[in-house]
Amino acid sequence: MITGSDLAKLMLCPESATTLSPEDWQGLVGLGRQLGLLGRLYYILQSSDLIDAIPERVLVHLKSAWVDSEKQRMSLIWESSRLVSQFSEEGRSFLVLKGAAYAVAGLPNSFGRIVSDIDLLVSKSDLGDAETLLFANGWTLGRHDSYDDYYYRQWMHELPPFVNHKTGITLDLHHNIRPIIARDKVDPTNIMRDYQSVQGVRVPCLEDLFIHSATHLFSEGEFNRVLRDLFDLTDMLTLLAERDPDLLNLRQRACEFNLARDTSMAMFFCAAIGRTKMSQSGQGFVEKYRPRGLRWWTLKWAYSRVFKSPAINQQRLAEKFAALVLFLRSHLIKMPLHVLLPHLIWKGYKRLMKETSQPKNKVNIQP
Amino acid sequence: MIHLGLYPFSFAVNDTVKSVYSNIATLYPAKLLDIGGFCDFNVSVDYRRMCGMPLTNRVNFYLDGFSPFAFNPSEHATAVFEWGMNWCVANHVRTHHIIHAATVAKQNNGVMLCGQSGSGKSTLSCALMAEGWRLLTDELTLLSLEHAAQVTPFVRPISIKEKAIDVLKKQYPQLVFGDIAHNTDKGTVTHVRPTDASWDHFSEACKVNLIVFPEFTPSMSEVVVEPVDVVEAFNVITEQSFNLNSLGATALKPLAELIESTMVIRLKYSSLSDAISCIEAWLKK
Repeated sequence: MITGSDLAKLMLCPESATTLSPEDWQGLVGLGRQLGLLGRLYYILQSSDLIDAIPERVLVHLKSAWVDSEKQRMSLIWESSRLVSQFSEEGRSFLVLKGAAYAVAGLPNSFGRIVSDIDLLVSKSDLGDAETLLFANGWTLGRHDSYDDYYYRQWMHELPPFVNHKTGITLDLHHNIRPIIARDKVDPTNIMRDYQSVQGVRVPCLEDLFIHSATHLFSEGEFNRVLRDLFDLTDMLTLLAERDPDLLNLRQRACEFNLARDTSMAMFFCAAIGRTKMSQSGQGFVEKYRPRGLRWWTLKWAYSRVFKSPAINQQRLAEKFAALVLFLRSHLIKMPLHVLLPHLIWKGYKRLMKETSQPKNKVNIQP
Repeated sequence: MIHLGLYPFSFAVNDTVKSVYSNIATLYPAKLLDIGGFCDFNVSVDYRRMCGMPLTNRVNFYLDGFSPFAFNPSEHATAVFEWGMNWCVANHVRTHHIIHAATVAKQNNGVMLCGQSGSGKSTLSCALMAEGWRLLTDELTLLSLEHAAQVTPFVRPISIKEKAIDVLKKQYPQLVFGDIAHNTDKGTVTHVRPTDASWDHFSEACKVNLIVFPEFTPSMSEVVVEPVDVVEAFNVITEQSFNLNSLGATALKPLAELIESTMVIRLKYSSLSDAISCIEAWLKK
């Protein structure tokens, strides 16, 4: 059985590609496709001059994913700069976050990366204007009901997703990087202040990109692309360490934002699974801010499980249990119980209604 | 477990309901069912499960355990399997320009039949196959990105719908039909096994010499052929493309070359045999 550790091993040590059997490749292609890592794998193998050593049948899938990711990368850059000009006409600005930011900033992890949406960050006072600007420029609110709308606007760090009616691209409009109802409050002012500008598009500084990615991975309840997210972090941490081996700025900003815990966990797993080299002071930071005791033991176990998870059809009870534990944790740290319980009950009820209602027969592969 | 060794993609079929396995035995040649080595897609059609227990009224298609579709009635399992395989290729392959079109060939002269659902392209390609033509594909025409006009075959059972099922059964009793799925999204659906001649050459590419936009028109008493100009042909074909969006110029250039160098006709017909003789006549031109 091929697991996330096999895939991680291949990405960290692409030379091992020459020793793989057809059965290994079959598992790796399937898992890599599911985790959105095939394009990245193509990029890594190409950078190591190993493409010729890959069996032709396997290469079809790596190359295909690469083609998709390149198309997405270009359209993210294009869409970002189009939004910049639309916003600047009205004297407004924003930062792009996550995948679009990596693409705009030309970070190594943006190559071969599958990105489905574009994330913007505006200051909370600009939120209404930004929403109007998006509506005026062909974006509509995607599918959601009035409860979702209330949930997002009342408690979350972003509005319900927008969809571009022409391109089909989805867009998340953020005013913070953590839910406003979360226990650990984040003040995004400094992220907005210390941006870097790439061809007119504003992107958070590399430290903030790392911290945001870390809090996304270690505080939120989605685990379908965790290994890809971890490789984003390792690439960024390597770049940060090249600039400043002591990671002073990163450590300071993580503390300022109240996100030292998530940042330390990210650094821990970068070293443990991504084999990123870390200086003494980096290790000291991890030791100081990581969770303690039984909680740390549980988190370490659960995250290792989901990072090393095989494809969905081969997941055992342990992986499912680990994901459940992390899912529950993410909700507990996201909102207090008096908000969480009604939310979960309502979500559960809606899901039950959907499951029991007449299922729709939708199989459509027409272009 | 079956390793369905098709060309150019193979499928490892696991944990799948019985009806699908027996339909595979009907529709695919036995020598392709146990090919070892690398499989491109790990697929299954399995019952809906709750806490591990199967609920036998609904099935779904899975790629490595991921399901792209909503649940379907179990009686549609065999159709869902074929659609799922199409989805795998149409959604993940970018090494060919994939068009929703059928391609058949006679002495390596290829004819690409392209049109909306309901235009009769599958019925016509099935009839051509029954008349001795070689089937390359019924749903997914894989156009080469390097050599314009070259089609890589992807031989698969032909999906036949509604009234065409009875028409073909009557006219070509030698055809082998798989299970019938009633009341699907696309109506009553069944699949026809490709002829031995198609399977025997299932990895041989061919060149497209004629592009046909079939239009089944029951009120017509005779065949009407209209030449289609380059721009319209281009629009119709790109509309039927699965991956042009991703491929961009790499696919547009060879497609333009193909359309400019190939005769494109619209074929309105009501009788299959008239349509076939018309296509044969145009191919000779």
